[in-house]
Amino acid sequence: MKKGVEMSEMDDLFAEARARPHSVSQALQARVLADALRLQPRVFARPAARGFWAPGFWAPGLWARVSGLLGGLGVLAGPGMLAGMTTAAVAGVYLGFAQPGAIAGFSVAWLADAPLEAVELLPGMDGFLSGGEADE
Amino acid sequence: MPRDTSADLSDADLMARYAAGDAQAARLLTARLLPQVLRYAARLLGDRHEAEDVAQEAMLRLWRAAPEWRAGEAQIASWLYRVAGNLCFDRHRARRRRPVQALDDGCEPADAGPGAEARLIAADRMAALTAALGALPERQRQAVVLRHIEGLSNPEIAEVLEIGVEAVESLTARGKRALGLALAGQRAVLGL
Repeated sequence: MKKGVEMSEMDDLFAEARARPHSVSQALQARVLADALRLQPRVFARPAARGFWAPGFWAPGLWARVSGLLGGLGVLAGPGMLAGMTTAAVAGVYLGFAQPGAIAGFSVAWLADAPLEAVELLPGMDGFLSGGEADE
Repeated sequence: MPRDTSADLSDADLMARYAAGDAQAARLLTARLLPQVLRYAARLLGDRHEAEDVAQEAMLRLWRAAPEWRAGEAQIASWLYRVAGNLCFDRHRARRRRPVQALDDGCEPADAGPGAEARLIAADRMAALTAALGALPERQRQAVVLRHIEGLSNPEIAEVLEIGVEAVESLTARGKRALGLALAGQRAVLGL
């Protein structure tokens, strides 16, 4: 009966097999990579934001660009005018968020359809409307 | 933003990047996975050219699977071994009538320089091993190669072959015994 190779002898053989180099040819690497790039999903970038929403819009030179925009509308935009517009815009935003009492009341009336005579548009003026009490 | 080093990225991370359009991920995956799948195919087939075809086909299937790949579902290396094993099995079935000629098992060819005789002897030993592996039933051959040459653990082999761990132990034990008997007629070549 044929005697098989001992397990320890086979372990030596396996160790030799593990140590044998198996280099990948450049041609095979190139073919595999070509397949990868050919089958790779295409990812399309979103178009860049332009104008007011562009990330670089608020960089230095802003006033020049705003002036240019307004100039395009036929408006002469000097620094004073731009400052006034900016102040008005900031004030409007503030009033909207801060909601001082009178404004809040007016807003409630406007939005809730309350009768206007119930709203004090100029609170604290009553004293001026009555007579003879201003000077003391 | 600092770039991640390739060593920090898992195969699954690289697959996700490849699917997101990162060409560098394709290069890194190729460098990492192609050698192991080529080596495995060469051991199963005993033919370098057929092994290259199998390796390229296995990688092609990996690229196709990338957009749908779900991280955590399977190890990419295990999946690749499984695909390569199935491709090798198909090729073995196709050439079953022909005896396995282990003339070119895909290893580096021996040269005529110093130590050439030792290298030729080593090449003959490997050829004998490859021929004996070729005589094993397919599943035993895969289990023996994965365990004793690729160095996978039994649970990893179980994932590749989609069987239980106990079935892997049985396959490798039977395969190793059968291999020993197949090599019995090659003792002279093996230097035993």
